[in-house]
Amino acid sequence: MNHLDEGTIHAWLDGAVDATRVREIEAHVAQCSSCSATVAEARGLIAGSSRILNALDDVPAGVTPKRAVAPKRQWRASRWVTSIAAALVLAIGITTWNRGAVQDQLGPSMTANPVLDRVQVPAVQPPPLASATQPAAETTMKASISADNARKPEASQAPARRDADVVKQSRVTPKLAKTRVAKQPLADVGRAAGAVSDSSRADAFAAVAAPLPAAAAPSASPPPAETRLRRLGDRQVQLSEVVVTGASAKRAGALNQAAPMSEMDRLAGCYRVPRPSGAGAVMREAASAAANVAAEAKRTSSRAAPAPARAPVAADFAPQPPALLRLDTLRRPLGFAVRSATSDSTIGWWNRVGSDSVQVDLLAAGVFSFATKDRVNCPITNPER
Amino acid sequence: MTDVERLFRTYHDPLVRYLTRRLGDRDWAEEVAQETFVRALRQKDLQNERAWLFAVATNLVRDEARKDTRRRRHLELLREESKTDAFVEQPITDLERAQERALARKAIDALTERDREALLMREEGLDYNEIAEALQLSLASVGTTLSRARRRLVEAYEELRKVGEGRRAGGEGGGGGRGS
Repeated sequence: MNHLDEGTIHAWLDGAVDATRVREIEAHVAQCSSCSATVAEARGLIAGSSRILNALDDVPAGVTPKRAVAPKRQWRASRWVTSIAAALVLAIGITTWNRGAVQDQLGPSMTANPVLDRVQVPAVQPPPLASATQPAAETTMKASISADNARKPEASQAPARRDADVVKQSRVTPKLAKTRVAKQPLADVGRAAGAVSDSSRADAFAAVAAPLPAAAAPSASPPPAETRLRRLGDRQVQLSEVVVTGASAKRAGALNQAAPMSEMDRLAGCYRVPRPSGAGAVMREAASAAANVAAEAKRTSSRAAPAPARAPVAADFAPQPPALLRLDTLRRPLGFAVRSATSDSTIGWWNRVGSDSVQVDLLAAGVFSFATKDRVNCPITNPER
Repeated sequence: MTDVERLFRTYHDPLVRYLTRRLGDRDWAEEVAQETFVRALRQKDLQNERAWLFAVATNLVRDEARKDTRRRRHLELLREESKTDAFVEQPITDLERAQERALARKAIDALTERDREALLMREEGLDYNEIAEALQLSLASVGTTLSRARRRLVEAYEELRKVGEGRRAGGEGGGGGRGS
């Protein structure tokens, strides 16, 4: 018999050869010192590799960077967002206040959109009021154009065409531009005509309008005339009325970009899973086939022996979910990690639904919805975790 | 239909341990294990379930490993582990364990993917037939694969350990020289 190859020896030591082959190998190893040495070495390799692989088990959960759910951090995050929001409100408030103040100095005629006095439309009724809520960029653009026009009063028809061209260039669709012209208070246009003919006042208006950020994002539905009146008359600006201009919309968008993570921090925490008799959160079955199978297993598990008091990790995957869930801010492909509050196993994922509720998908146990008001205190877990 | 609870209770722990050893991150391992079980639930007829579960988990890991973000995360993990070598302030037992874990991780990463997977599956008790099925190997080659994997793992570990000891000895010698 030839010497045994290493693969055969390992298969023999692993018990993966049949009885006949075992007898042959044993007989050979008993009389072949070389193969006997190889077997001894193989035993050492098997034991050594097992020991090395056991060292890999000493891996704690959460070794990868993740966001903590500590209350302090939540507070810091919310304070940070609050600071940004406060700065935003202050900046917009000052800008709007300045605008109102200058408009007061210039007189009511300057609050009209000066460019529209070039548009030949019949005046129907007195203007409700000036278009203070007109997007800043548009106002700036048209004010500067009208100032230019005022310096060249001889060009009476050409500016209208130029204005139309500029409106097109500013990526406003022709339809929208047309609508704006039609909705403009017409008598206001007539009243503003005298003011626009004064080039110095037009320049002053342009100078006021120029510092406003040039973000052309017109509000979809302009506020009613009475609201405008209040805005012009009151210098004490309220936030709900201020966040209208294109510039503010842009900045609010930037804030929303940063908001979700802090939102998740706010929503994360521990939630108690309602038992079938409980009437707290709403439980509904998952639409997936997993839920059906889980229900089947639930019926079978009722006949099985009761689980030990200290639930093993596998119990977290049983159709009956853990009583207490901890919603982590660890981002996962399908949402954020959901853990069992007692065993710290990751057992599903969660996502935000609306501003004050979350949806939790527990795989085999189904889908749950929780409101933030139902959140409970998390139990103290092993600090090594 | 497969009893889902029995499936979880029987295979969850070995599967997560296999994946943790494979990936070095228990959270990630549990996530892959979950996905594996979800797929198992969708499976109508599950023959040789242990081989099937380990094969699916292995394929998921391979798919995930192709993603750059995952690789980056894994590299970050390795970097974190290598950092632990420098933490002299740690208690000695923790330091030794951390060093041993880092060495073991480097050694297992030195194997080829197939050798590594076969070895980790064997450690979880899969027999040769199951390993052959999970990894699409011939039954006769499993023994050879395992013997090669074990030898390489032990040799890589010993080599890394010698290099580490040599580096530490060099560092101590150099430090003494500067001190005198």
